[in-house]
Amino acid sequence: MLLEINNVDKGYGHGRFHKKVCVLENVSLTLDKGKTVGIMGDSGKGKTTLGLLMAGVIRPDKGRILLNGQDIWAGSRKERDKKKAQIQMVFQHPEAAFNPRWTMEQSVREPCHIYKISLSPQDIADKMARVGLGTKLLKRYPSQLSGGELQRIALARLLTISPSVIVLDEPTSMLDVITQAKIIRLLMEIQENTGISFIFITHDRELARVMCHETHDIGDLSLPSSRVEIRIAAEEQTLDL
Amino acid sequence: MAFLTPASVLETGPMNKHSRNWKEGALILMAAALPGVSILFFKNMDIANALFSPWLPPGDGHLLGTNDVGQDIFFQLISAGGRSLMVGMAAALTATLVGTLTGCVAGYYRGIADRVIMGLADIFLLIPDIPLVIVLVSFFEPGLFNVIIVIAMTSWPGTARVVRSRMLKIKEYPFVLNARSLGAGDGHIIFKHILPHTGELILAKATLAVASAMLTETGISFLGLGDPCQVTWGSMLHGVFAGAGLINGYWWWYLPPVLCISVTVMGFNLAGFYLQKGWGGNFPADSPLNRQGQIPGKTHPEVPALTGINPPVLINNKDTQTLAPEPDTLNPISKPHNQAPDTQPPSFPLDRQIFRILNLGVEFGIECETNQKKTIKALDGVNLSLVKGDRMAIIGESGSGKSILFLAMLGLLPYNARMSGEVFFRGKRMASFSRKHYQHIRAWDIAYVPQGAGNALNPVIKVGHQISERMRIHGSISKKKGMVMAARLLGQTGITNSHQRVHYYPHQFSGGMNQRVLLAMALAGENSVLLADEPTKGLDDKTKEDVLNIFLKLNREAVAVVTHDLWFARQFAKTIVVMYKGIILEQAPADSFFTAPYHPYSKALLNALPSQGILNPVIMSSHNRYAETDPGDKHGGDSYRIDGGDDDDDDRSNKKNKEISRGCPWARECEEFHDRCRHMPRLFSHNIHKVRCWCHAAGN
Amino acid sequence: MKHMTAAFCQYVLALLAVLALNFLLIHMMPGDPLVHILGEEGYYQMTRQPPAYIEKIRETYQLNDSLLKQFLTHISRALQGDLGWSHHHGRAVIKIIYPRMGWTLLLLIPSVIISTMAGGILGALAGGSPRGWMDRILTPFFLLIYSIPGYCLGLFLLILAFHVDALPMGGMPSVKTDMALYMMMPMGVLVLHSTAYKYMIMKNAVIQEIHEAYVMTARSKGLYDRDILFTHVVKNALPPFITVVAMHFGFMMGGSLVVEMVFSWQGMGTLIYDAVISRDYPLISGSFMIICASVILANALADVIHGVLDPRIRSGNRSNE
Repeated sequence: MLLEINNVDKGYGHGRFHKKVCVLENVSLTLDKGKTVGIMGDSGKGKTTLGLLMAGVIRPDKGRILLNGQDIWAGSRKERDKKKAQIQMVFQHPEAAFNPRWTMEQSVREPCHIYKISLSPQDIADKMARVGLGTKLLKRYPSQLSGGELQRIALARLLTISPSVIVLDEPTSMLDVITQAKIIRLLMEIQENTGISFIFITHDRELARVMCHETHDIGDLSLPSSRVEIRIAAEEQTLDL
Repeated sequence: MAFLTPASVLETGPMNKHSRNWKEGALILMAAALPGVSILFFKNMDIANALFSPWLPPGDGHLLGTNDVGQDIFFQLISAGGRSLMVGMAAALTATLVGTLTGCVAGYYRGIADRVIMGLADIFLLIPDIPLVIVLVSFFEPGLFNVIIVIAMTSWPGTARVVRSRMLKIKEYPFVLNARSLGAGDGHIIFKHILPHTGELILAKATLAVASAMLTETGISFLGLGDPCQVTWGSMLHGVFAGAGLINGYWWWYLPPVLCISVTVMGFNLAGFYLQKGWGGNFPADSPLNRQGQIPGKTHPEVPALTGINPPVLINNKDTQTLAPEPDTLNPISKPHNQAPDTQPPSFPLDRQIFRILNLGVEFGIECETNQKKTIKALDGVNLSLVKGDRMAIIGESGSGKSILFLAMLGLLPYNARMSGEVFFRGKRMASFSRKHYQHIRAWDIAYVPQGAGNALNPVIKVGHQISERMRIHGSISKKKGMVMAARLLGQTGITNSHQRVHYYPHQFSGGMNQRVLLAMALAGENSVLLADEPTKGLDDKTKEDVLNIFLKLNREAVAVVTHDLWFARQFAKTIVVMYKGIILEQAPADSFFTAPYHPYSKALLNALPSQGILNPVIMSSHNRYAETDPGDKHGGDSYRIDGGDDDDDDRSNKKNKEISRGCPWARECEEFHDRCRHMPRLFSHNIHKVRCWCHAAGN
Repeated sequence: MKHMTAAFCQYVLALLAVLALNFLLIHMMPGDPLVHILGEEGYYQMTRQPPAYIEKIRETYQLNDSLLKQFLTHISRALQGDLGWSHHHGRAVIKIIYPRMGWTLLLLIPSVIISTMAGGILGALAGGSPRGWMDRILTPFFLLIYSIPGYCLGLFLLILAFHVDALPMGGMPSVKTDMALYMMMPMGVLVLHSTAYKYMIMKNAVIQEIHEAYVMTARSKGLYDRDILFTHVVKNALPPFITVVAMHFGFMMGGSLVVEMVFSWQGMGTLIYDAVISRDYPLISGSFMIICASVILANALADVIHGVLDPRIRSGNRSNE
């Protein structure tokens, strides 16, 4: 399997004495290449935390997150970064996902800038076209674009480093129904063309039914009895443009 | 709560008014500081210490006379100025550097470093600066260096705290999380993402720190605890006081230093406040970093003042006595661009109409990040009637203006809104209502359920009191009785254990429960009309069903609900109104709407629902016929419909944008696009089903 | 409760820090620590005594013990109220400070109360109608006042008094009934200056609060504007306002020292000044300790009030700190 999460705990400090509140307890999950797994549940139950854990932004207190069998937190800084680059995230609030002082072009170039990979304007235009946009928007600032456009550019930004897994944290809940439909279609198209796997976090059951191959409830994930295991080997994807 | 400073003291307008970029602000600061900086070069003037005859009043050779020792006051003033400024700036610089460094480390790395640093900061904040300086100066040798060190020591915690809290906030923002998930190093994140958003704040605080450092220094010097060999403005005043210059009325001796200190300090204060207002506390309106870490949706309109300021200005201020709608041909502003007037006679008898809205237009002027003034049309030529017994659902997406519509109906538009057209409530013109009348109506007649997002409930007042507030203030029931009533209402909304829960505060409730509290609040007065704004937003399915049941059981004269939840609308409404970009596109009875909508937008909307499978390929077409006739504009077109043009370099598409903004707003994405759609269609009636689309032009 | 214990610890730590600072100053400063214990005058007298006597003095002051032991003794002495002996005045330090502190507090406490109320109410009203007449007039006025150093205001008032001859020019009243007259000018200065600061704080807080959604909710219920302002908005703005007021107390304390100098008010300000001039170190450090202790106490009190006013803190949900 592509991504495996084993027995993960995560708690947050709360209040002045940092009393640990356990948000996730003993969570396990698997994801295969080219598939979409949905995570449902009410707000505040830890869906976003799980998403952040998978993307490697925060570290689990206990348990491991394995990409292609390797722990993403193991190894040297460079190795870790390489693994983490394979799992990226799209956020719920499109306007907040971009530095408001940077043009869209600067934001799109950021991932390659961090990995010191050069990106030609043609490459960028390609990625923008893949998400259905022209290059005119690149000169603008996030405040000048609509939610739908911003989410598309967020996807374009991620596509520049070709991740294997994208975690989508309620990507369309701030968008109107029609734009949501377009984004969903776009995601499905991208999955067909590139084989990227998705973790789709949502509270909309209908949406999950359309989008996901399998769905889990965040409450169920935390119980040891309902571990779902599907094992299929996957090839490693390298950073290529 | 952001750390409070006398920062936005001069902020008397909308918070976003004075956004500037780096360069402008830095220029202004330099201009303000230039006189002061140039004085720095004069601090070691020999002539300031030269001795002449003492006690001379202003006269030849001595612009400001001489002091008790015989030194020329004017040159002393300049020399002292340089020194005072130097002390102030040095102290402020040190404090800012130390504060920024510690704040960054504490905020970014958290953990032990955070606790230690903040602990130290708290301790230093508690020690009063002047006494500390006095003590240290008495133990060490008096000298300006000590003064600088001590002022820095007592000022750094302020900067550290502010930097730290800003750091904490921004660190959790999605764009920073994104960088972290990309594996960006700490350096990249701090220097490329966080510091630019903190830089102006630091600059502002540094400027204010100079002002307060100078104040402290003059105090110390006035006490005679500064360096006796180096003159500062404060020590000049010490000389005045000790030399009985006050009593003898030597105004040329004591006035100049006082004036200089005051003007300089005020200058730095003003500069600091201006900087802070422009950036630190107040980001540009559209920026998500606007308000205390909340991530807002689109620009949210400014709220009016609480006392004294008049209700929003009406453009069309004609006094009409009649109720029949008349297109206002005299005032072109009230007519939307290129739109033919809707000369429909009222479909319902006037006495059944609770609300009659005629040609309502609402505009906002805002300034964007790129410093452009833009006019946003929130509503344009809206004609609507809410009649007795109706259950209306107004469907639309964010930006469609539906929430603004309710605000206009309640008289709660922000003060920077410009309204045109008329709203009649029970036959009377709302524009003629006084403030008191509005308050009376809102208390007794119309109940409003606001959107539950953010702080719709006051965080420091118990939920029960907020629910019963309307009845307590206007109906004069006691607090106790109010709580009982609140408990009953809350129980009706499906919250268990409501007798206990009414004593809770909003932060102890979840989002769904807060939504129900807002509902209970509106139900409290048994008002005849209920307007609800997105009552099911963000709720899970079970709660949505509960809320639906409450609405179905309501027994009011009329209920209007704004929602983008089509499931809810289908179950609840009798009449559906579809809005898009401030315009009504369709109005129909609910059954016929959901079975056979007329407008292409409505069709697209229904097809786009996940429950329909999102399978309709039409919605994916950004290559419809509109794009074919205008290949210059390919970007999918869901930006705001904005007048005033975009700052495009492509002139041709700029013109096209303007053109389209006068036509049907759905034109760009419509599968039925024709050339005539470049002109706004009017509202065509097919019995009680109204559509604004040329495809259905054959109406009566 | 947890919040209370944390805050309590913090204040205790601050007190300890002040005590440590005092200790360090006495023992780490260049020169014989005995100077700092006895004061210059006392030291000078002592140097003329035979060496055996000097040695005995050192024993009494435990200068031969380890630093840690001395520090602990220092703390225990301080807590018992023994702050040393002033040779210059010939009395125990604590006895000298006691009445003078009283005079200072007589100026300070009413000033704090009056300025908090005035600044709070005016600031709230001005914040409630931005760009209204109150805002337009008061804001520049208070900005000007805030930018002028407190003692400069005092100087101006002195000049005024000199020419108008209505109020005494400073000093202390000889008769108790004249107290109010003599208090007026120094207190006037303090009140004016701190009202300016608090006005701006409250105004800023109110302006920020007005943009919150619950204000819209309150208006939609048809509440009267004054009700909304004071019942809803100010209630939210109060907790941070109180915190700032408490922190400002330290600043006011420092400022009042200087103002006392201007008006020759026999409070801590003039006391410390005299002590510095005569290098009476025990008195200096003792005064400093008392001043710090009172500021810390004021902050602790404000914290308690803050906790009472803000329910989010009571249930342990501290916002953004």
